[in-house]
Amino acid sequence: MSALFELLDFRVRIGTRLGPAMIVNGVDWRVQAGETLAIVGESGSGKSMSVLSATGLVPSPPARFEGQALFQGRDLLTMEDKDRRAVRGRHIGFVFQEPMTSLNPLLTIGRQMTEAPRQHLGLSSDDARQKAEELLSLVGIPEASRRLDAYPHQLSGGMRQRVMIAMALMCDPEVLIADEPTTALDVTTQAQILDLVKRLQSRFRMAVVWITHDLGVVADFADQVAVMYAGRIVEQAPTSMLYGSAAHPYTRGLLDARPRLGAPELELATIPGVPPDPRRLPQGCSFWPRCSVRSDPRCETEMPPLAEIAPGHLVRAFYSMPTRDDEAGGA
Amino acid sequence: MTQPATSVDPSGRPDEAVEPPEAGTRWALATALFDSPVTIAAAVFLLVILAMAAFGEALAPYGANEINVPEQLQPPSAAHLFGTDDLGRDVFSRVIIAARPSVMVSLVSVSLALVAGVSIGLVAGFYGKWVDAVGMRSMDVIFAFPVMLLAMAIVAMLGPGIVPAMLAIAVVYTPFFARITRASVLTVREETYIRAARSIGAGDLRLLRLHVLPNVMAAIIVQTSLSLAFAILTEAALSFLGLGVQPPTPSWGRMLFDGRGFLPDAWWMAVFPGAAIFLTVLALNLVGDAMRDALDPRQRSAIEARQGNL
Amino acid sequence: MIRYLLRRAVQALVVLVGAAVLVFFLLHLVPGDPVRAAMGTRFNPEAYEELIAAAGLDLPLHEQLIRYLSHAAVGDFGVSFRNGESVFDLVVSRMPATISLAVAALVIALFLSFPLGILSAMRRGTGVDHLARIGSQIGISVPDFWLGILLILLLTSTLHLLPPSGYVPLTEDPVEWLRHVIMPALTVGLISGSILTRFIRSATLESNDQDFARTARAKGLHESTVMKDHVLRNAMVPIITVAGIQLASLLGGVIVVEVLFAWPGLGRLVYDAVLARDYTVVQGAVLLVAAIFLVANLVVDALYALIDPRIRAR
Repeated sequence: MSALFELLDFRVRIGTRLGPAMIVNGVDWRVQAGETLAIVGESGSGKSMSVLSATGLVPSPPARFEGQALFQGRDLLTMEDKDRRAVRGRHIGFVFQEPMTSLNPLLTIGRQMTEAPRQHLGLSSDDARQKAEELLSLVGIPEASRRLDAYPHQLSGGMRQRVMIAMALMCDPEVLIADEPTTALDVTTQAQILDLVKRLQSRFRMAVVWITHDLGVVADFADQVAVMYAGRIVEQAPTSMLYGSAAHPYTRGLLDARPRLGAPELELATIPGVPPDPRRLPQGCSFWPRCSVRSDPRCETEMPPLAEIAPGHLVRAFYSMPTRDDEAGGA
Repeated sequence: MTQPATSVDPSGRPDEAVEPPEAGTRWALATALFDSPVTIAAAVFLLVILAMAAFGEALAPYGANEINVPEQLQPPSAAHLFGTDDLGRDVFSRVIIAARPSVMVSLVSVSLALVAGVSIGLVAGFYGKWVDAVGMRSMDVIFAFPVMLLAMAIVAMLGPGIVPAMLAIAVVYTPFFARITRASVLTVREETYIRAARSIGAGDLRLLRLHVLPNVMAAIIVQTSLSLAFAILTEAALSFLGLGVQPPTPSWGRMLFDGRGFLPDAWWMAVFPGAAIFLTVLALNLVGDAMRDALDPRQRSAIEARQGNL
Repeated sequence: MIRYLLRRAVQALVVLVGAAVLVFFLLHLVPGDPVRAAMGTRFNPEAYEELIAAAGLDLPLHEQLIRYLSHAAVGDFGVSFRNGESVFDLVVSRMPATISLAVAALVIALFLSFPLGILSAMRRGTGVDHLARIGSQIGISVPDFWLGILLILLLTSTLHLLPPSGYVPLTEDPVEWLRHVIMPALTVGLISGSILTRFIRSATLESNDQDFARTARAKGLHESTVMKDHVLRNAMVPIITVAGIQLASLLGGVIVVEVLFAWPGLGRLVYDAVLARDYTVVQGAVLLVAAIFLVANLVVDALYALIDPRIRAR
């Protein structure tokens, strides 16, 4: 079955003053309708760039792309600008990180919400407004009709993010892309928004691509998790498999770094070091400088390929860490 | 940063084990100057102007006040590159020698404005509250007047001359430095390391000197180069009105004042000195722009718009 | 919004009073006896005593300051030492000329800078952009009096198209007014336009970098819609502010151009007064120009509040 939205060996290169930088270095993933994919990584891992570039939101030049970004079988990268815009507006909804600045401060909510459906779906202004009202109620905003005439600064952060979500759904997209949508919100609101998206997804049978740096956030929401490091996917698995038996040292590091309630740790575990400069990537495995395992001599000189160590579980390492089960049994 | 001994850049060529250059402001400024051929040309031109200011008499073929009435009002020729004026003086030589007062006035006045403005800005930004209010309101008072108008009023009161012109320009440009400094101080002041330093009792003066000032430097340097450009324009305008540098000292603005009466026939009397002003200011602006682009491409603000008023 | 404007008005008032004090003390920097100097050869002891008494120059300094401020508050700026005319009347009589020049110059500046600035930003890095940037770089470096002279040389001396100086009020003869205003307005307008071009370019670029522009593009809107409703609309806010400030400073700052083209405006008034040592006129005109400037800035603030709903709410 062909995927709804998939990236095939996708690469993004940007020329900088000090040389070319490979921001995204060969990424493959796919989502189906009704499925949620979480893309997790640090700042600079390429998680946002891969998705934004694939959908045409990164200007090229100066960026250059290779590979394919297939939406319903059509390659977004080779399309004409206007076709890509049509696909993007009509079939893909976006929710960004900063609700404060992601909305135009000078236009009313209603105007911003109805722009896209009027252009893509040909709705009349009344019909569009009606739909906007319905969606606002759906995302949990009271007095929807009044809000349509309000300006962004008159709403709280959480409400603005709900508006963003409602706005993203106006054209009935098949895919919802959320780029760190809860990072700028407080914990309670975070949970509410997550819950909201979950409900909307099952209601509309959308595919959701959720980009985040926080492994904890998507634990009970995502179907698949892809962990990115230095422009590549280093581990990809169904959620339970990843959390239960993570095989890549980086993933393990991320999981260990989460503070846990009740655990008597005096210090939070961290992964020492910093991600590499995309302009001067190390020769072998990108994670090698920070890796505490380094079990295979090939790690330093060769980039390990993505290997399937269990059905649906891909890892980019020459050595697999013992799973939690192994450890529990052995130690 | 734990990097391996060798790294390979994405196109496959092996690199030397080189540390990336310091991304510090001083480096950024220096590299900015050598970035484009235009900026290099501008910098070289400024050096030439400086040389003219320092060694004008030695470089010029004739004297500044070598009156030679029979040779008056000659068009440009091999003997007189820029022609002669109504008293038979060589315009080319006068243009060279007149670099000095312009350069001096702008350097002195901007230095004064810098010292005064930065001090006020540092104090106002750092101590805040009423010190800030008083300081910045005073700057607002100066800002309430169009640049040229206030300069003229000050010169009017003190009498025309090079020193009043310097003082007038210094007063008029002080607020620019004060505002920029204060803005930088405000952003730095809230940095945690400053709070930390203060909490362990670091003296204010020491803090200002060691932490605040270096961060403010970058913006000040850019502002300086731009202020120098406008100071030259202002001084030239004052001289053009007869209120700046007085004869017998030649000055570009004054030459335009003299030349105006001989338009259009002896056009060279006014056109060449004006070109000198234009090119010098252009060079300063190009250099200033290059530096500003290196530091922060988003610094085009209302300050620039205001500075440019006539 | 009312509260915001009120606050700004109070601030402006404080600054204005400060400016008045500054101007007052400027007069007292003058070495020698200004009244005697202004009277010059027409000096006679009776008239001298009268002028001194009328100007209050025989009072102690702090009393003079209070007198000056209280008079100024009601529009009494004293009389010219030269011809006895009320300073206020003199300033008012010169304003039409300055206003018509300032407005004409701004129109030219806007005509030039809007298309150039926006195009330059939209086609960043291309030929148009480079041309605009070079042109505006030249425009802000050029001395206004030199540009004026060059224009005179071209349009008057060579092409014999326009008169080199003089003024005809707009109300009297629009065509003649136009013929006389073109060169001074061009001189000021080209330079002002260069400043605006640079600013419009950077304001547009900055607006384009904002998150809401990304959201608009994410929605797949036509590029023209993105530019019109999102990028440019937001860029307008700072642009209008700057354009307003430009106009405000043009109103009192085109001295050099007025002198060069013998345009009888405020700048020319101050200049003539400076040469003639007519200090009350200098004082009064400078203060009035500052007041106009501050009022103009307030108007710009009001406009700003009108456009930006965030300010309106305050």
